[in-house]
Amino acid sequence: MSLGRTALSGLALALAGSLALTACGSDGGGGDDGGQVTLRFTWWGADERSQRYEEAIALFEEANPDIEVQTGFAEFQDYWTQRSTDATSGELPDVLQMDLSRLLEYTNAGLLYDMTEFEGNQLDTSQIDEELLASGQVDEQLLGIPTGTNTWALHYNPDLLAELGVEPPEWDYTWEDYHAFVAEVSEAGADLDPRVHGATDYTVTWWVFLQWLVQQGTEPFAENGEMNFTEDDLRTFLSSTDALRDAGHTFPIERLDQLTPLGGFNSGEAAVEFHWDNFIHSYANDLGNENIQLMPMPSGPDGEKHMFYKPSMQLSMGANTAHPEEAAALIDFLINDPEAGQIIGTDLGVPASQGRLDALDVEDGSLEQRAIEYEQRVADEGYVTETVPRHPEGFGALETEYVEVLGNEFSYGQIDADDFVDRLFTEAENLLVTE
Amino acid sequence: MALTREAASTPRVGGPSRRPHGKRPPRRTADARAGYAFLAPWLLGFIALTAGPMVASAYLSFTDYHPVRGGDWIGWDNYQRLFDDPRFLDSVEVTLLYAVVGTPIKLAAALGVAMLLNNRRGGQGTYRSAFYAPSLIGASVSIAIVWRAMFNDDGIVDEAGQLFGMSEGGWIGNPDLSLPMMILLAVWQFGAPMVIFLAGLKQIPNELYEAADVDGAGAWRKFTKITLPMLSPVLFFNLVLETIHSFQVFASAFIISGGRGGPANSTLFYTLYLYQRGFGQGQLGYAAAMAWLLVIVVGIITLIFFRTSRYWVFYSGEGR
Repeated sequence: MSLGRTALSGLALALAGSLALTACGSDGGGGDDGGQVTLRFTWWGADERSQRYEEAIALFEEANPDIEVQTGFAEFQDYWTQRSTDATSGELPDVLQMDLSRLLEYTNAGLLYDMTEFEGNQLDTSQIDEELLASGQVDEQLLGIPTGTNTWALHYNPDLLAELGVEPPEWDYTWEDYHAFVAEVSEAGADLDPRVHGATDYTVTWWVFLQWLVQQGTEPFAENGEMNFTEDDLRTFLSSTDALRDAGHTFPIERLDQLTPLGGFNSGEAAVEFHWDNFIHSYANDLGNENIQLMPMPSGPDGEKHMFYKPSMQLSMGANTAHPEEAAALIDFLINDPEAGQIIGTDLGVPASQGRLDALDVEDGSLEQRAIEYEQRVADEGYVTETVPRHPEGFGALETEYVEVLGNEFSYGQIDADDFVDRLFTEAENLLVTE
Repeated sequence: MALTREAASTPRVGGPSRRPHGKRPPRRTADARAGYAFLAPWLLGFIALTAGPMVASAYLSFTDYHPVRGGDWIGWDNYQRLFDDPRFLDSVEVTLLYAVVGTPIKLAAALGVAMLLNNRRGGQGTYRSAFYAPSLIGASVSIAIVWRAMFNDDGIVDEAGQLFGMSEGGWIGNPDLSLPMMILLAVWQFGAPMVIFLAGLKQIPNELYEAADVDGAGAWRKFTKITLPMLSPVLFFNLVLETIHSFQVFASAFIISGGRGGPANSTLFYTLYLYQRGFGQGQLGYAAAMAWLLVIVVGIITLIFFRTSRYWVFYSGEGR
């Protein structure tokens, strides 16, 4: 009996001890000892962005010696995998980079902190364009502060084009002009080692599909979250590069899979690429060459571009944060501080804050200048006429299905356009949240 | 567990009479309590870390649970959806191919090397360590990365192939070669079954071979008539273990294909697809259904192994 009792009490002691330890552990995240506050901040992006953020955060920590910022980053898809795991365990970072494609999902689940109470106090939003700021508001709650704007662009590599003796398209080019251009580059680059192609097949890029739909006069998603486009729309879009694919003029997927995480363009093996304009920074970094230029999207059937600005990303706070005031201060610093702005430049989009944009000391010929001028010029030329397409709940998951799953199988010729359409519409039933 | 039970039920004080309906004697209760107390850390761990999550995942498999949105009870929908899902069928095919082709090759390699090492020559320890090393490092992330570099376009394997006039390009981007590459990676890690085989080989009495020599049996005959039957329990053990193992391959596939299971789904292993659905797309209910299906199928396969074992596994002393 005595043995049993000793064993039991020993066990009880051990249990109590371990519980106490775990209790300490879960508190430790907050780290309140001695007035020291620890914030967790995560973002998606490449090395280039992380260097900028880390540098800006070092400044923030210097100015706020009682706040320590723990950082973490991942590539876009992995980033959201990590955040959904965080969300399940109720441990979202204090500050996190947010995207329109996930904003509703996280908001409706009550995972984000309503920052309205900090407006005008810790958080100055007065410099941000009202319409842009509204993109981070849901039901009169302020859930995401936009860092900047971006818009779609054709990135091109003038040095590579000169080497091949191919002229870049004119700004008023059409989709047909673009196809001819891609074919010309691929033919010119066929004998090089490694072989140079015009571009990757844009039909497997979700956002190019959306831009194309908008050009056809179709708003991709209805207010209730349902898809406005038809199976025929998608089929037509997918087959628009049939000729290029058949002739082997698009960047081969076999090669692309080996270059991962790089793509064709930032490996110097493709001459052009459609992407958000702020990708100019990571592209230049990957290529080791700053000479990358931007031009607008091809014109639609009516000769207009129908482009739109999108809040490139937002900064949000996890609803579970133990230090909302400090988190708000960090966001304010990243959005408004001129010194931080100088470091971050246009990597998070052309700055949302007008004050910050004005204060930005842009070097002539720099990537920053190119991005800012590009966004200015597409507005001046009257190319930007639309608002960003609606992002219903489940938008991000549908995008993943389109790009990572169906786009990959389609590029390998494993499925044809009909299968692609069938499967996207089937999956959409499970992925999109409609009313 | 068995040991504790035995100790607890051993009558110490003059053997109390059996009282099937009455209260148990205090001594035994105390011993049992102590036994359970000692077991408690393990039991707690089992309940909290294994049984609990298993029950939870069984429940989730009947819901459309999403890590952000939560979910509702949807009955058997997830299980039904599985069989209309082309990627699910792809992943089953890839995994079965990997298990059916990879496991026998791996076991054959392990047995072959074990037999070579079983010859009593110098430096045996060195060789044994050398052949075992890949198993220690093989599951690591860095090896998968090295593997990726080796099999890329113009990687060392491609260049070696070119020497022999085979210019296939890298294996990584080739849907026909990426699965063989994964199998090769698995076969290369034959260390664990090899060591077990080696131990088994040493158990075979030398007299059997000596007798066979006297009878004029050749090397092949000795192998099929003595080594294999005597080794069959070890072979059985390795077969079961490696088969289960090959159904669970994840890390190397995840790293080599960047989590995609590419090219063209050719390395989309079951567990990788489960991960994509559960954590990439947030369809945890669907992923849970996949997990349970895997448990059941692996269970059935193991059961079949055990049922058929009596026809080919020979235990010495059994007198068959």
